[in-house]
Amino acid sequence: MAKNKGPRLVQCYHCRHRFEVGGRAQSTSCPGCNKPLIVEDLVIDKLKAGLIELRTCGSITVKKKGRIMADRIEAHGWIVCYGIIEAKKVVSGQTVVLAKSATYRGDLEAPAVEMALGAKVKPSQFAVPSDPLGLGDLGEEKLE
Amino acid sequence: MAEQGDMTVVGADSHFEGKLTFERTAKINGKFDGTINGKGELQVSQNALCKADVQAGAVAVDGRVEGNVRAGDTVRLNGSGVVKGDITAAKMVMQEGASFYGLCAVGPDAAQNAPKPAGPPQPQEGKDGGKK
Repeated sequence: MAKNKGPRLVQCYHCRHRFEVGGRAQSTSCPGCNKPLIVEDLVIDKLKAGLIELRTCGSITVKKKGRIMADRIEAHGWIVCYGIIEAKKVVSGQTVVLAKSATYRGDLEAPAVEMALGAKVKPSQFAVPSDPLGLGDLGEEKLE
Repeated sequence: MAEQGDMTVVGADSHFEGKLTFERTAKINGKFDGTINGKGELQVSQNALCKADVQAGAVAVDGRVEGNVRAGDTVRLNGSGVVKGDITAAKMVMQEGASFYGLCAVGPDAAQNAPKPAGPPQPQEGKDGGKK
């Protein structure tokens, strides 16, 4: 859960509409398209398999014993992986960190990647830096 | 880092075309077009441009590499480094700020299963070696 209690700006991952949510919000509905949104920071500490999509406007942390198997993973914040990520496509609005214990597979688009010595990457297409979510100016926009 | 006497250096004001092989350490400070094969470490300096398929024991990139990189040990892609091509290595370190567009395969299996470049390493040669 976000420690910052103040409101923050998020972008809908369905329609890209931008709006404010409370700092502690975990989910909401987009005022632009009325679709449900996850806005919390996700922590994965066990197997999460068979997912078609895992999307959040927050960040994703995969702990050492965590494992995500999904077609698409999308985080508007950072992605930190100590465990295993297996996906067809991974997009991130901020830095992707692959720790030394990480095992990773999935075509990756992110503004930056940090990879530690010891991380394993199964053949995957990387495009770094890129801004696939159009979030480049999100942090610069001021809340009204 | 190896002593200067043990290092093959392409100078900052040099443009080398051809095939480079080395045993210990090679450093590209200028421009290089061709192929690079070595048992030791290849260093690509910050302002260097290396249009080459590279096979080496270890590769450290601070500049720009356009071509496939294959390392038996470690690829270090530092913050100012840019690689446009595929990377295959046993280990890899990538710093925030580095750019990489291509296929990435890292791990002991990746290094073993990667296709080996055609032909054994040849003695050092170049069509226009040292041309400025």
